[in-house]
Amino acid sequence: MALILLLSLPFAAALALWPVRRVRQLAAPISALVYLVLAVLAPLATASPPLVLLGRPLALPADHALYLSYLAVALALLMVGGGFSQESALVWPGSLATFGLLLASASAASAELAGAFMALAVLGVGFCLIAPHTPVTAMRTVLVLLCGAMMMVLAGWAAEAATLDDPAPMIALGQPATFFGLALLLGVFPFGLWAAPLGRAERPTAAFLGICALSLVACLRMDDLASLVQPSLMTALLRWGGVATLVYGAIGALLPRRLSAVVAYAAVADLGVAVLALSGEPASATGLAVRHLAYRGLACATLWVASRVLADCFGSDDLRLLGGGGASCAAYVGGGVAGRAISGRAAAHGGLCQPHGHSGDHGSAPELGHGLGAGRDWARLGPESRGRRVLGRVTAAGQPA
Amino acid sequence: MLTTTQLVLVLALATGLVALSARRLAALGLAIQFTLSALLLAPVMLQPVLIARLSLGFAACLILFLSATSLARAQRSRMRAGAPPLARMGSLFSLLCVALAGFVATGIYRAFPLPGLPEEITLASYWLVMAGLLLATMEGSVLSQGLAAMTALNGFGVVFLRLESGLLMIGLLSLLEIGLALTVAVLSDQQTESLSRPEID
Repeated sequence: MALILLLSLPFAAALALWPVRRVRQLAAPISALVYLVLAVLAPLATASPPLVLLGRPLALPADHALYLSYLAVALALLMVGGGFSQESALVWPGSLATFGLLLASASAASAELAGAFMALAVLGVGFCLIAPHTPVTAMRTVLVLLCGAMMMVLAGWAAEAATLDDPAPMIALGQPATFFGLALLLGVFPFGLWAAPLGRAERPTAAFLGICALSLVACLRMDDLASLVQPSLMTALLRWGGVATLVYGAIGALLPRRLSAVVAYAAVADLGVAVLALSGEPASATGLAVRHLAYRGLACATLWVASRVLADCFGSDDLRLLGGGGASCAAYVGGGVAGRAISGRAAAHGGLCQPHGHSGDHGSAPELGHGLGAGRDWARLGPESRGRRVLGRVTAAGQPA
Repeated sequence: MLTTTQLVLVLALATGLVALSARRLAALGLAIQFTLSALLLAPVMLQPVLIARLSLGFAACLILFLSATSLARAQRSRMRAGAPPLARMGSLFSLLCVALAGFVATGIYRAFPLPGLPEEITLASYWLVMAGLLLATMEGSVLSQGLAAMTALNGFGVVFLRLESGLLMIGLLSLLEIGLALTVAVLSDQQTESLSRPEID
């Protein structure tokens, strides 16, 4: 019963949310609540008997359930954050349906079926990415990830067929399919060049689903496909692929000015660590890597939400703007404390409550009142105007005198 | 069943139409691909399943046709407003790409035949996958890339459904085809809107 509920709830919730998808204040908390329910349901569903879908069993293994709960919690966080930031109206139902497909993929007994569900989930990532400036990025991401998912389907079929018939031709077909499929879905360098533009697209839910969730679910399938690949070749490829991904992500994170892009590159670098873990002792490698990817997912979700909230406050998540905001804040606080110290008045003395232009014996009150007026003006400005104002101040400060 | 020469001609026509226009005429190319795929898969599929799959394929073609019509309308309004038409690689260039993919596919299918599969399946899948991937890499607009992706998916479907003809996998692949067509249509409309907005304003 719990398994049926787990697999059907995301789709039912997506359908229920469709009419109210444009009402962000309603759709965001409901989606977050559904994700939290799914996070609780996932461990309970491991005890359920397998569900048979047209002759194919679906059952959630106990070691997969915990990671799916992590993903659900991260998505709940993104939904709550999305309530305050500019997400497309399709994100609420789209992400739920995509997560439902990922749940089905993690529950599928065969890697072939898991790949087919993953391919459908890729289309969901495309829908979550819809925005006026992102159709080309969305199409490219869908194309690349779809190729990876199709390779997974082929590799899964080869892994199943290798146990039944003459294994030699199946391994010949399955080995490249496994390599390319996992490299594309995980985002191993140089196959992971799609990840950074996806992170820059200012659609945190789509970026999370594409970069973190898909790679985690693909990694859960490593053990099913390991029989197709020679262990020594796999170890060497994973080791060098992990190092290259780590270096690429680390260098890439130094270059961009946008916080969301920095997070995307940091996620790629973190993936390198997980891929390095995969090249370790086979008994513990997958578990270590998947655990690392789950933690990475939570961290990325938090950082993407933070970057979107900062972008809404400052007009952009450009690091120059954020640095400018921080520097101004320190200057204002320092100036205020120094002013109060010089005037000999404590803040608790009521100086801050004086109206603007009051000329009593409280010496610093007019200045403080003026500061409050400026603060009110600042609050009335839109996020973009605030961003432009801070950027102008930073640019002016950066110019030589 | 088709001879190798007939198969090559049909494949060249189906992929050539996609490469030539990448607009409404390309939907006809896709429809030819779906028909060819049904013809090649007929020996391993039940007739009702085959008809259902073909119907879903034609539905996907119709969705892309409507999307291409909308793009053509946007193109006309741009030209009426004096704006330059939306940029696309030349048709001749795309046709040459398809010809290259075809030559490579005919070479590879002789050198590396897929194990346990008939020759026509191997040739059709190599041709469609290579032409689709090459066009997806070359084309710039979302609709052209989507049409190319549908071509590559058709090639994959031909070989995979010959290997695995379970009802669930057939259903999921058909769902994927129609889902991809919907995704391409939505993204293409978004691109058309965003490209035409600055000129109208």
